[in-house]
Amino acid sequence: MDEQYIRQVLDGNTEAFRFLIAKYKDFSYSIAMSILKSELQATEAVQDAFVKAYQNLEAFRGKSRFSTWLYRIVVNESLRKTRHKKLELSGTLPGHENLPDAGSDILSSMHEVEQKEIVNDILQKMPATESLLLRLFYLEETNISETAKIAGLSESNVKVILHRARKRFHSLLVSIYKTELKTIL
Amino acid sequence: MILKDELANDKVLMNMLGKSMHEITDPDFDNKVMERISMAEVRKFAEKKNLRLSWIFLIISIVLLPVSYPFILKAVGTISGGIAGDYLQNFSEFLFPVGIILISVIVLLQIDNLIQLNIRRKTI
Repeated sequence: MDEQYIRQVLDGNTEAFRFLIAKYKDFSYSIAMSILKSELQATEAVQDAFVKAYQNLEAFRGKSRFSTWLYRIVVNESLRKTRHKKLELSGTLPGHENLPDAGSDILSSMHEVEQKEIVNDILQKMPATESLLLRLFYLEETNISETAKIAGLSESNVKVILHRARKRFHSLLVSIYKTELKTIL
Repeated sequence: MILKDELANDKVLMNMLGKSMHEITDPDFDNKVMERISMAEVRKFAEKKNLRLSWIFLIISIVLLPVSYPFILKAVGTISGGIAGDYLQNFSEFLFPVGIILISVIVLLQIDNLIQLNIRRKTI
C-alpha cells in the first residue's frame, strides 16, 4: 500500500504524501514524545521529519519498511532538537521492595482514559531511550532488529535497554499506584 | 498472579503500552506539513536554478576572461599611453601576470564554493 503512494509522490503527485502523513503521524509523534517529552517540540520534530522524508524520498530504496525508514528520521530529528535543549532524563530506578499484593491488576481497575494517562505519565518519567524502545517494541510491535535500526543501537543494546525499561516501567507503575492509594486513603 | 509476574509477561505490557499512543491534536497538522513541503519545493527549485546559473556564468568567465584579458590590457595601455607615456606601459606589463594570478584565484575559489554547495545539497 505504502509503495503505491510513494511511487505516486515520486511521479510528481505531491498530494499522495498526505496518505503517508495521516497514516504515520500519530506513532511518529509518540516516538518524538518519548525523546523530547514536550508536545510543542515533538510536533515540530514530526513536521521536520515529514518534510525531510518527502525531500529524500528518492533515496528510499525499499530495502526496509517505509515506517522503519521514516521513524529513523523522526528519531534523528528529535535527537537534533535535544542537542539544542538537553532534555535527557537521568532518572534513577526506584526500588522493587514492598510490592502491593492486592494490586494484581492495577490498570484493569482503572478507567480507560485514566489508564492511558498513567501509562503516558510513566513513559514521560522514563529516560528517552527506554520509553522509545518500549513504544517501538510493544506499541508498534517492531522486532528487535527493526527497533535497533530505528533507534540507531545494536541489537544486544536494545535487549539490555528493553530489559531495564520493563523493570523501570514496573517500578514506576507500582510507585504511582502507591501514591494513588495513599491519596484515596 | 502477582503484579510483577504479570508485568513480566510481554502480552500484559503490550496491552498496557497499547494505551500509550499519542495523537496529534492539531486538526491542521497535515495541511501545515503539506504547506511546508510546497515551500521547501519552491526553495529547492530556486536554489537549483541559481546553482545552474552560477555554473554557467563561471564557465563563461573561465572562457572569456583569458581571451579578453590581453585585449583589455592593450586597450588600457593604448588609451593611457598617450597620457602618461612609458610609465603606464610598463605598469601594464607588470599588471598582466598579476591580473592572471588574481583571476585564477577568484575562479578557483568560486569553483570550490560551487562544488561544496553541490555536495551539501546532495547530503541534506
